[in-house]
Amino acid sequence: MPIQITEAGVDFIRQCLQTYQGETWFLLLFAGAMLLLFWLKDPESRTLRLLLWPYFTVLVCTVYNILIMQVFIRKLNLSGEYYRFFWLLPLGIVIPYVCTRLTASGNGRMKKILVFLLLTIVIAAAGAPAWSRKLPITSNPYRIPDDMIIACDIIKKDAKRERLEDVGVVFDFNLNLLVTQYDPSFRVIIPYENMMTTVNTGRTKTDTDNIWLNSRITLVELLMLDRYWVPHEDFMSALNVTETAYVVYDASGPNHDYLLGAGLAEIGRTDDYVIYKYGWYFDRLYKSRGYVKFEF
Amino acid sequence: MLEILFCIYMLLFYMIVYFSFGSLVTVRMKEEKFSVTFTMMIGFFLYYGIFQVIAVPCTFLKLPLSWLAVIWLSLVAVVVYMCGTAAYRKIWMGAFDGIRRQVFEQPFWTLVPLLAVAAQAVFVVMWQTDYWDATYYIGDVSLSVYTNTISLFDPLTGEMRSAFDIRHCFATYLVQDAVVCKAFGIHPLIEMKTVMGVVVTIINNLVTYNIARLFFKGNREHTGLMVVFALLLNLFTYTAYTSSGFLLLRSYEGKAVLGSVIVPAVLYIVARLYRDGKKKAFWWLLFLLCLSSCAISSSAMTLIPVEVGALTLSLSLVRRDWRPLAKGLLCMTPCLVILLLYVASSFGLFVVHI
Repeated sequence: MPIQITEAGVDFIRQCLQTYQGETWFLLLFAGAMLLLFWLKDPESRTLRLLLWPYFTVLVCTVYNILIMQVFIRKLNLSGEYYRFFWLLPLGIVIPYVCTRLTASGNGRMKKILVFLLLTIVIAAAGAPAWSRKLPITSNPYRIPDDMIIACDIIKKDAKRERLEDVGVVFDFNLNLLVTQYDPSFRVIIPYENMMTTVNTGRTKTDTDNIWLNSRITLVELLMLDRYWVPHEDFMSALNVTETAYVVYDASGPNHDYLLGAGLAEIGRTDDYVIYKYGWYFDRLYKSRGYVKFEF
Repeated sequence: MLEILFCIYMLLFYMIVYFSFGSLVTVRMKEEKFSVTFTMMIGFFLYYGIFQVIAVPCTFLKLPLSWLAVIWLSLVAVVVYMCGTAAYRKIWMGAFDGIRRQVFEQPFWTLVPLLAVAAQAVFVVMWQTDYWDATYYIGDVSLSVYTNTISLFDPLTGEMRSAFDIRHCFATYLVQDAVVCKAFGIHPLIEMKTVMGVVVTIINNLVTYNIARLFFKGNREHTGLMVVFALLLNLFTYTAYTSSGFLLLRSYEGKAVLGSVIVPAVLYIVARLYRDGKKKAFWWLLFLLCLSSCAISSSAMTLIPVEVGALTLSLSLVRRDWRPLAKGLLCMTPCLVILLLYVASSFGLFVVHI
């Protein structure tokens, strides 16, 4: 999470330097490039110098002045994500411009290639590469985990067979973030805000009287966080209150036997998740439709 | 495979539309030589600027998304038809002839920027990205398409909002995605992550290319080199303190466009004002940029006035003339109006109930 100026206050710069040390050497590159504009004598560099130095000075005196900004952001109730103001630094123009001038100044093709390679190494060493985030390479056009697509397919097929239109599902934490984006036709039992609040603060005393909220907190803690245990009756009550029909649970989670004991039945699985169907929900559904249960 | 083909069609759609919209402006700039890259860049801003003017009333009137799609795509069709069949055909042909000549004269340095864009585009579309912010941004588009409404549902709760979200409802960048998804049946995840990811990559490089062309006086070798250095910088500065992370991995957010396209484009326009001070058209373009910036990202309401203010103040200081600053203040009016409405809404003084 980026450091927020409203929380860090005047300590903002120290915290930034401490946290982003090693990723922000390119700021030195920028400073160097800005200084090199004085050394370059051509009219275009002069234009950049005359335009960007006063611009940079104005920024330093105003939006990069921590003392002014923390008061301004608080008073106007603006977003504390102060880092966006750093996007105003013309890094993406000044550094490539100066690098190009330096490369072009080399005499002969070999010298130019050498300067180009040297500058490439300097740029590569000065920051963090975009692939340092270690994201997986996508395997589908939606660029989401395959598990999401397979789990939704399994549930949709089953819901179609059951002629169920309002499909309430409790997804695992990671899939719950994605489900509205991929298929908004599902009724997501745990809304994003509810999930994040529970993850961050857990259950509070004021929540205990609110059945809507309380039942969802129970489901988050049991099915997403594995950090809470309640008797089967309470868990099933939470499923009933929220009208949950399906549960998608982490295949490596510890509560599979517990879920089976609560009347859930496995209807399919993906690489990382198991999809359960809540028997009691469907029993009530059949009764409401006037179906008669046969036993052989 | 079908999805890839569809993405390519959508890319072509956007490029033709931006080019047509841009032509409406650049063809009229008599003292400016017609340029395909400059036209496309301006077209991008004009497209979102006009879209906002139409989409905001539709949002507040709670019109169905399909109505907005019909209204907007009719307008787009008229613009493309008018430009492509009659008015600007000769100019377009001349410009593309010029490009063809350049390719034959200097094939290597014409190809270098194109390869840089292609490399960046491949990088943008190859990752499986599931940032938490997408729950809001892509969720909003998915829900709008599914419910046939314009941002009436809150993607974080799944419930209908009680009041309009003033911070986001002027930034109609997402509504445009919803319109396109509704009209063409494309999935929001594909449109926002892949199609717009590549579109933003192209526009980002067009801006860099135009800046390079300005400062290297059209020298193709130097222009190509600068585009390559800009690509390297984007690839190796992944931190919150640059917009590269947004550009490469979160291009579905308007912030990616703000940091990587609008901020450098404003600098380009002010540099043109510095060099060709008497061309009034560039003040209008600066106004257009400010207007469309608010249509693209809500963060623009603070960022762009700061940038325009600081740059026009610099221009005033260099020229020893206060008029650039005054004109700059006028240009940033759209951002300031939206900022005022947002501040009023955050204090509960401006609330529009649904």
